[in-house]
Amino acid sequence: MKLQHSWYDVVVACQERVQRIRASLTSGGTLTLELQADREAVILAIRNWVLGRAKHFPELDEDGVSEVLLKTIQQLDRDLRSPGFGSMESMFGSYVKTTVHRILFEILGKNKEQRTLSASERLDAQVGKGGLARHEVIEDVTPERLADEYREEQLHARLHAAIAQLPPHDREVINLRLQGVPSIEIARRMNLSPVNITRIYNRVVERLRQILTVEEH
Amino acid sequence: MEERSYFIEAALRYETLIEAGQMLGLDAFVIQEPEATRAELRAFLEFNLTHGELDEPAVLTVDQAARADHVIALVRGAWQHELSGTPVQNLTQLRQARQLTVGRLARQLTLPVDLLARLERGKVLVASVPNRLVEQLAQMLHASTSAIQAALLAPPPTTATSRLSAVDGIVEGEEPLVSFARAFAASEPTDEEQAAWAADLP
Repeated sequence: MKLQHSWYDVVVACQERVQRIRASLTSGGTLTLELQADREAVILAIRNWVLGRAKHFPELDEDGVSEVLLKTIQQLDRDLRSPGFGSMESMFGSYVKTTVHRILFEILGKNKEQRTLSASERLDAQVGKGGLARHEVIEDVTPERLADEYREEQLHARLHAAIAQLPPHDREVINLRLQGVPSIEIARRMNLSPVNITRIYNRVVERLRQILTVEEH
Repeated sequence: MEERSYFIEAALRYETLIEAGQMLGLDAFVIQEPEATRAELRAFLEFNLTHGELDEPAVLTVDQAARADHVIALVRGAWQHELSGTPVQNLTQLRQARQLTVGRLARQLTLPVDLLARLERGKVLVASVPNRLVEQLAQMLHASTSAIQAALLAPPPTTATSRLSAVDGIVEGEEPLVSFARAFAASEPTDEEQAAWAADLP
């Protein structure tokens, strides 16, 4: 199915509506029913163009494409009210294109960051300057390593004995944290704010350090 | 000014200069901008120029059109709520106003508690939240559907999204923003929860 309107037609049709909306909103006016209809018409007019551009990026799934549309609409509404965004009245086509691109740039950047993080945890991930895979730099068992492990075990035993001396509330926080439970999750389980969990955690770590230091002397 | 608005506005300024016939390279333009934004601005301007104008509208399938309409209805609902003059509250505030814990509300919705907590933290793609959940939240929280739509789009509580670091050097990575379906799977639902929401999952 071939759509009849060109992007130029869409821009011309929307620009006039955008000017009307901004004339009211940027001078302290309200969004009348007529202006709400204008905003609605602009959104419907740009909808398929925005989705068309988002679909150029195969790494975005359907939910990602919907998110691009949602963020574009939200940004459009913010900028319609912003006195400093006069350029959208005269360059509406460039404005929509740039807005969609900015949102895509942010989402794709975030996705890439997350992929990089998970890739860096893989055994075949390249680590260090030499480009060696992680599994190649894992050390073999040696007497020195066994001695280190023994010292580490001793330290763990002392640490757990020190934890056992803590009040139950503090003990729960530190045990959950050592199990790798995020502070936000601990906060939820204990019905406290994450900031409080961090405070408790910092205080407990300091207390444990004191206990272990006293034992050493 | 919103950070995103700054980048959009800067790109429009650059296009205006180019259209006015000024032969200004990206580096020459970027150097005049605040130092903290230069690297990102340059990368974005390059991205923006590379992809050019919007030249092809998407021809949507029935399912894609329904998804797009769902997004527009969500925003329309939120705007309707704002226009009513009632203050916008996020989900956490609406829940706390009913004196419900996350666990209790999750049980009432037959939803994994981790998923509801994640939704409150703003780490679920709002566009992927099923209509049925919006309607059920409205019912449980004694709010209108538009109040729930506004709540989903409202900023989450600031403490919930804090990135915390501990003294031992552990830095918690930012929780990824995922779709409802992915968040549901990640929250290890019970059989009962799975059955309750199966129709809304792909």
